Amino acid sequence: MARLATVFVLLGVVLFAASCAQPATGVSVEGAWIAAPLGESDSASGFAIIHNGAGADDRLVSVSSPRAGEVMLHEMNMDGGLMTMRPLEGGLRVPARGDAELAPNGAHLMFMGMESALVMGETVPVVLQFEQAGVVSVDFTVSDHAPTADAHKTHD
Amino acid sequence: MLDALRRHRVLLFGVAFAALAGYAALTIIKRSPPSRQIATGPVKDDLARLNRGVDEITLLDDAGGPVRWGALKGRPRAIFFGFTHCPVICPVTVWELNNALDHIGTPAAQIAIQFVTLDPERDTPDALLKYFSGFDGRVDGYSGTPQAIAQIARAFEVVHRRTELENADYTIDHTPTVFLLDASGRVVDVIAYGSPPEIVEARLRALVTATPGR
Repeated sequence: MARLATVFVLLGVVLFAASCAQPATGVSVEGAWIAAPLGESDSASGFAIIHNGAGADDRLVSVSSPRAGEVMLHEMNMDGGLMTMRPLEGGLRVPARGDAELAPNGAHLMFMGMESALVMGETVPVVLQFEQAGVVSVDFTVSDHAPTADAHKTHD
Repeated sequence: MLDALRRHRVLLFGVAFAALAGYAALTIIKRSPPSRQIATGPVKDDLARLNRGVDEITLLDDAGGPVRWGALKGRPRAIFFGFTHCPVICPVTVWELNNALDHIGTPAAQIAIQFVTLDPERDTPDALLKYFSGFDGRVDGYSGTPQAIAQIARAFEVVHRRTELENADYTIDHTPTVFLLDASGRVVDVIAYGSPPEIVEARLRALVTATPGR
């Protein structure tokens, strides 16, 4: 019986270690993409999933890219059938040991003032400034779909 | 300079948002728009009241010619409203629909994607033609007089509000729902903005199945 308990404890330790495979601290970003603009639009929107491995909340406070005149954090809200968009005041909170999502129907990045239109497949360097984690550089891919779409499928 | 512009923009957004929030609150109290029903699945009886009495309205197709709204019937359609200066909802929605149709393949060939601009001032037929030029004719844009467009939008209970920005620029907040119509022009389903790709595909697949033998 005691041996069985030991096995369970060991199993628990192994599972715990596996769940900590991500960096224990700091911020990492995955699934970063920009919806390919149509026509000759000089603006575009960007999305990603931000992981915060640290034990304290962090906050995405500003974003820039050499490819855009300005990158703003915006937020979508659905109000009685009307979808509104406004700047996200105070940045985006990324919870401790949790995720924050930049998505087409929520908080997202707005790339504005592009000198030339983004093209499908292009890689756009983006600098994310976090309150705690500091500067995180991420390449966004211009695409017609989220790279994580297939991963989501299995979760749903 | 940029900072000043940004503050100005933030202020404008704030004022506009407060106004819109007030309006939205009133709207919620008054009625439940179709896009709110999707959470629990479409209510077919309520959808049937959409797209009524507007067959004789004339819009402009992307070649600049007049087209009767009622004359667009005859095949299953996915219809949504927007404006080409829209940086998020409109491109994302077009890509989602296009990807889903690609995925479905041959059976989806009969489905038309139709976009009605809520910004006829900037979205001329020629501008719409250019905007959707990358889709090999799969997406058709429609413009028209503000009055005609307002009538069509109202028939779909699509809400739209112009919001002024700095430098004489403006944006248009609008209902982002995609409406699915059968060949007779009846609204049979809707797709909520932000639906996962498999939901978009399933709804379009069901639309094809519901309109056999055309």
